[in-house]
Amino acid sequence: MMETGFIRTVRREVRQIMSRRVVMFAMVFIPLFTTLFLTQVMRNGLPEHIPVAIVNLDDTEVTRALVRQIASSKEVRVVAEPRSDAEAMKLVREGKTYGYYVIPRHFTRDIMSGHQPQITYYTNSAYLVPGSLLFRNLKTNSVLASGAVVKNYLVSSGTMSDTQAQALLQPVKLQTNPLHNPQTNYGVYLLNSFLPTLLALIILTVTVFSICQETKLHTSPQWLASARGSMTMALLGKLLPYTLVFTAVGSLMQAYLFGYLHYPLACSGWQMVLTMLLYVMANQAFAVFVAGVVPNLRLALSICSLVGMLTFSVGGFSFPVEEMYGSIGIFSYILPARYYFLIYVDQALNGLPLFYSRFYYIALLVFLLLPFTVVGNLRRNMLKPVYIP
Amino acid sequence: MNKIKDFFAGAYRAAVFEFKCAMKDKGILIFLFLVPLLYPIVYALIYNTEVSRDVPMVIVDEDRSALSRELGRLIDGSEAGMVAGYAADMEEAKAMVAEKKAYGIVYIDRDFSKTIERGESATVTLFMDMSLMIRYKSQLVSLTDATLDLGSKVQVEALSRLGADGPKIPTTVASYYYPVGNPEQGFGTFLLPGILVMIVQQTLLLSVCMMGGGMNERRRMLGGRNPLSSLNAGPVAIMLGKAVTYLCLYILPMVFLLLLVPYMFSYPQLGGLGDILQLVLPFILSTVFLGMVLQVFVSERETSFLVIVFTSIIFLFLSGLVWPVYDMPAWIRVMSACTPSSWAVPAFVRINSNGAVLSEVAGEYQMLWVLTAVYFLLAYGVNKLVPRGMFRKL
Repeated sequence: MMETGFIRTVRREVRQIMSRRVVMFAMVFIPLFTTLFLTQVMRNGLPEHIPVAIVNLDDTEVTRALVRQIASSKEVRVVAEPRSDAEAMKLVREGKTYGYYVIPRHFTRDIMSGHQPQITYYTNSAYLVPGSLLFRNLKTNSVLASGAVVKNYLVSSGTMSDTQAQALLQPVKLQTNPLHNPQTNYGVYLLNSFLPTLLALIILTVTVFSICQETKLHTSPQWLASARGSMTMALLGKLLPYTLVFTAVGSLMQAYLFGYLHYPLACSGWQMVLTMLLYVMANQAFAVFVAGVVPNLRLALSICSLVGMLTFSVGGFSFPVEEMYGSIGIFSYILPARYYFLIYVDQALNGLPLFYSRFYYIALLVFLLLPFTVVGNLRRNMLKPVYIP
Repeated sequence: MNKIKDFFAGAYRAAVFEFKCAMKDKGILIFLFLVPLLYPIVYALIYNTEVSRDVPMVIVDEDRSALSRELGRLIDGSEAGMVAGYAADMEEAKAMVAEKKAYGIVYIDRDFSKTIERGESATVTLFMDMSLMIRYKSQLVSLTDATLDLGSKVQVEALSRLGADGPKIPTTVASYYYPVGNPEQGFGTFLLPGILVMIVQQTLLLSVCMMGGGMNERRRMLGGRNPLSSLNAGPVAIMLGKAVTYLCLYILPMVFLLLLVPYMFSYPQLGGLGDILQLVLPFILSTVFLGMVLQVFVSERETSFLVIVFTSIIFLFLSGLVWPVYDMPAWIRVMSACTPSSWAVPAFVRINSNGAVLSEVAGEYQMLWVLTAVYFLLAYGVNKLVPRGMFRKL
């Protein structure tokens, strides 16, 4: 008896999805297109050939070698050699360069005569990624340049051997190992949180849309009838087709990132697919909860859009939650996307034992209980559909 | 003469009608006023601390010398990092990272101080968790500064040991670094100016599309009649009238977003008021006309949410704020060129953060007028052709 009600609801829902091109578009095209789009944006891992200018006020053999050295690195592209600071700054304001490097007048003379010369570099840090890459490159180059000059002197004057001079100049060396992402690939860092969060945004809005439009179109009694009056069955039957489509789309995203692009995957792929299934269901449950509390279609959609968009920031995928003000940081823990991200970091990126992620999985499961708190409310609203535009 | 008068009278009627519709529509009021009011404040609160300070790191010190302890002190003293604890070996340190008590491991090997005393360079190894770039950067800065500090101390000692007999060496080069436009290199100062411009575009697009969806629904409900037809105005007059309405409606949110918010949260604000206002005019117009193009695809008010909201992410990347546009593939660069925010975001960021004047963002400014013209024509065309268009009388 119940089973037929459930199946009837599923059939009804599949028919509805098929008749609404915009829903199919949102469910399949948007997430897959965004995946392709963002992976193409970050296809180089890090932006290369950042345009810079070099102001070389001391035109000598030494400084020209320095300019050549800077120009030869892959990160930068020297697009101009202006005559003054002011000209170089104008290029930054015009957006033609992201920074510049100033080699002062008498640089070579000063360095040889024991007066300490100063190299100055500027980056446009209103753009954080090119700004910090440029900083790293310019800093390395100025340290290397300075070292090279001194070392040359020490070695050629016969005071020290090459290694001794090197040790005197840099007694403590730093070796860095970015774990599991040695190239500091930006895509690995950003897309593993951004794409699932985008999927969450779509799941939230589509789920709320599918539930609340029943009241808008006054079809909610018919929906309830198809499940023989059981709100729980009506909900399960409605949500199942979406669960399948979203999990398939989400797994396709994962397959593209982990499989095709070889992003780090330290756990089993099936574990991530299962996590995706759980994540999809947690988001659906979240949306049902919103629809139960706020039965108004437009308002519920607004709430889900706002929550979905804010998740990108509050989720702490780029800016750490512990640095946010306490009251804001808390919000990140009411979002399924936060737990998916933490599971991804522990399991796929760092390959930790499941034990460390146990609470994140429990949290995702707890989301599934949310709809039970609003079933009664939802049933009341569905029996008396009122559309408030 | 009469024709010109009729035109303006028609445009005026269309403007008043659109204004009345917007004022009666709670959904549109939310997006025109409430979202621009609340969003920037929420964002500013999220990113208010700007940088990641005191990232905890665990030290595996196999050397246990005065020198290695000094390194620990230097890390703890740096602004970017802190010492969460000392571990006996790598296994213990890894466990601490797994429990998120630390995000990096500093490994100092057994021969660290001996190597330095022999007059050779010693190596410190840093292992970093890569879940967040911003933490990675903080750890890198903290360790680079600490090792350089320790290095110069060793250097001074080595040179003073050599005393007067030591070599007269040329000085090293000093370097000075100025992060322009974002002196603290904060996350909020970087993201917010761009986000503010995005909010203008996205709320406007949503409002125009919802209005279009509402119109279509009304038309269906009223048996195919378009209420606007009673206005008796030509298509161009209707479009211009509507555009003027949005321009007027958006004055308040715009002043709040682009002038008040940067002031309230002390984001860089080097731009001249005149320059910003001149830039905003073609930006809002091109966005409204783009909205009128998209409008015809929206048959119901609510479907605009499904298709417009996600574009914020796409448009944010197309603007080049996060990733420079020149490094993107050609098809994405074309998409970028077609989006108003791709020109408005960099222009606004450079005006406000770098102190550019309008002539220095001339390229972006001109492109916004080009897009205004293109989308005006496109909006005119599709609304004429598509049966759902806004000019349809019956």
